[in-house]
Amino acid sequence: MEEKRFDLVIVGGGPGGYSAAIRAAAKGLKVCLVERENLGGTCLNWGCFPTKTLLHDSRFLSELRSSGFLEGEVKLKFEKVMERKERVIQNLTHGIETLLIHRGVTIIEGQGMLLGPKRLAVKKRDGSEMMVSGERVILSTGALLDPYPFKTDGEKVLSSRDALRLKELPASLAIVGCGRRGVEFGTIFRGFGCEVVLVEKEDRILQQEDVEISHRLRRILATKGIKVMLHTEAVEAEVSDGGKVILHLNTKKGSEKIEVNKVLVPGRRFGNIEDLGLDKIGIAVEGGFIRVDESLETSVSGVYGVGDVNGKGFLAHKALVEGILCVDQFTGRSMKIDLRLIPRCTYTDPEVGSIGLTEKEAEERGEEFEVGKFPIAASGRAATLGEDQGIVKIIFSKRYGEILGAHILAPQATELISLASLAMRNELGIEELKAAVYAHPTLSEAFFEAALDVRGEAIHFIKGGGE
Amino acid sequence: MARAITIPQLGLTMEKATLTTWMKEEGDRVEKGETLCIIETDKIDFEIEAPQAGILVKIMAREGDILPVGEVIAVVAREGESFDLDALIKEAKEVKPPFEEKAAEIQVPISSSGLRVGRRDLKASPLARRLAAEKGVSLEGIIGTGPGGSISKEDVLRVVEERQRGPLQVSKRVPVKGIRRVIAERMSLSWHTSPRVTQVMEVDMTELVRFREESRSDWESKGVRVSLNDILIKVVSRALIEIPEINSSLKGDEIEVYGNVNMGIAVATDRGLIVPVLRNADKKSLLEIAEESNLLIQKTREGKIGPDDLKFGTFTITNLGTYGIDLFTPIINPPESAILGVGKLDRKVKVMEGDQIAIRSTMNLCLVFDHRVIDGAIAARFLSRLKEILEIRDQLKEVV
Repeated sequence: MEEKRFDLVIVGGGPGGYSAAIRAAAKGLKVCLVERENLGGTCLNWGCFPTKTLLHDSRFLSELRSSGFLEGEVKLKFEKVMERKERVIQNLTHGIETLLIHRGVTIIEGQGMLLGPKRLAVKKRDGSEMMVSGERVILSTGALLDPYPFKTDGEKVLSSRDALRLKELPASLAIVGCGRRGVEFGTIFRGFGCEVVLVEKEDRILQQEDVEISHRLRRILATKGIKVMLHTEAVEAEVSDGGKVILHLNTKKGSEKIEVNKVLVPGRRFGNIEDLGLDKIGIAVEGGFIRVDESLETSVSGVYGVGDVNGKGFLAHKALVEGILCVDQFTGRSMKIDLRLIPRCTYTDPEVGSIGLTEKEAEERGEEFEVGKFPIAASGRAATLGEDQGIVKIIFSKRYGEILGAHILAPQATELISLASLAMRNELGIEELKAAVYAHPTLSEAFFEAALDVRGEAIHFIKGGGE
Repeated sequence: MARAITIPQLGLTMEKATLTTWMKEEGDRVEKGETLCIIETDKIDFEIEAPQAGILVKIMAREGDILPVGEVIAVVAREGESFDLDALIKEAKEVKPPFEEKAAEIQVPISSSGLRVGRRDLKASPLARRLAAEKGVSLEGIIGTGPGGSISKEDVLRVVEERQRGPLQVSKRVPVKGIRRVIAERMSLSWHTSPRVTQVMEVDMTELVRFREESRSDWESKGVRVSLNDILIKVVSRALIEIPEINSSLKGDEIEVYGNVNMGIAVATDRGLIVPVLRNADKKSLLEIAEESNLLIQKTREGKIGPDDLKFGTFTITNLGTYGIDLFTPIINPPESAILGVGKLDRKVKVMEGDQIAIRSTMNLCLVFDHRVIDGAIAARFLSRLKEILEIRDQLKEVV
């Protein structure tokens, strides 16, 4: 049987895998990347990129429809939206392939399975098999979705992948769970004109975000016509005779039913670890994910777990940075990954970007802190964009002015949050935020204003003056 | 622009300071932040730094001067720059140094040369700098693990923790400044520049002890307390005049051999080792030596010694005998060429002439000398001569 030797073998070509491959090749290693499906992983094919493409079109449409200076009806051609999404994905995955080839990475299309710590069998798409061996192996196979307790059917009860394959826009849609993906899909479909109900069993949407941000976003979603049902557990989805879905709910008041065209269940993630041969070589698994240590190494020396598959967070940029830093330690000194400094992004309208501690977490940790805020309603730049909803909120340690957390609900919050990420990574605090010059008028001025607000010295905003 | 250097106000109650040491001389080139001189108040030693790069064009105060706050002590100017001294002085006196600011600087425990904590050429995050300043940690020597090797908050905290819990239990940190710094620098200089040789000779002190006992009442009637050290100063001074190669300094391409003996006397004080100089010891009587050395030692211990009393030594005697030390090898006090270490006065059983056994008073003399200047044979001759004077009654009487 054909056998090829490499310095590094990577299984899974998502952001974690391809960033590791490109980094390693750039450092002169001989790299092989095994991918059974499409390059780019969930992010490019089923996650970030398709949803962000749809979000853009959805938002564009809703803006046109709600504009006060256009006349006539704007009609949606949903299939064209889906076509554009496909083109974007194809271009991007092709781009990743070009980058990998340009760097001299060997791409093998197939399913990899570990035979030993340094040896894998690859079942190729054409049915043939081959062996690859590498001094080191990175497993970056990502995560799969579990819609439990529901069963998705691809027609009426949809997974997020199903939702991205829809041919027609449903008239109504219920989404079970108000995590990041739930509210994003809700925003997308509402923008296209679909009736949307969000069902959340906890007391607020976006559990991992700052409470204030959660509440503010929920109010904004409501004004856009999205119905949010909190303290509500969806227990069963039943297809009615008329072809609709009846969703059975447990609310605070008792049982309830709602009838919708389709139900979307984003579900929970678990590591994509089947058929990898983990048990054969004794790689420890924990809660459905590959267990890794601080340096991303699994329980077997020389084998690493990068990205979603290690269960330490499900964000493409976390996987990207892990891929890079994992490889850096093979070739020299590597920075440590500080999971607290990974920004969280939710692409709603307006967007949510956050990093570090929430106000509640800061309290729980006994930090002495102070909060600087700047409402988007006070931002001149936001006014020109026709936006007045949201807030920039920064939590500073009282003693050193260190930024403990930043929470942004604003247009382009996912861009703005990188400013906080840069500041926190380099330990810039309140004084440094105040010392920088921000272009005017911009949204990023909110950082300046929020820093000034701590002492009630904001320029464009009076503390306690209302919004 | 020419800048006047003044005595800063370092505390609310501070009115004056003593200029202890000039680290630079008139005409020296100085870099910004370099220490120009050290001043001392009753509370602290403080290094006055050059406010800008340039030439120390004028020094207007001497070591030992007691100066009021705001007094102009020097001028730093750019090379070739002309300036109006009177105008500078007038201007400097009008601007009172802001007390609060300086005081804040001092509260930060710092390394030898001022505010190293804030040094810009070390890559450290702003937070790390703030933290280091607060915790009194110098950023120098901390390994940065932040972006691009920058020192991060965690790096500083790690050092703070190591300091608290590490294998070394540091009970306090004493900044190396003032006298300590001068000692450190001079000892390093000596150690690294002079190739030393040590010779030890045991001296029978029985005759000398007897002589001292016999003379005591006579000396006391004249109101003077003569110590063993005073006798040694007198005896060593004589030997130095007889063998002047020992009483010398290497100055560039020349060896200066001195015709008089300025005897350095090592004195331990609370503030550190200080070596006052007894001038022209060779020309003074034992009683004069005793009187003067008593005074010098007292002044030194009380911190009242002036800089003039510390200069122009040609040889040094250091006595650890009173601490029970048998033998030790002191470090030469540059630019001198030799130093005599004196051990304790002991009583030993000795084999005398005719194989008689006797109990005798003995003492070790330890001569450390710079072999660039002095050869072993000359040094040995010097020690032998000392032994001779100290052991033989007639010789001793003739000298003292």
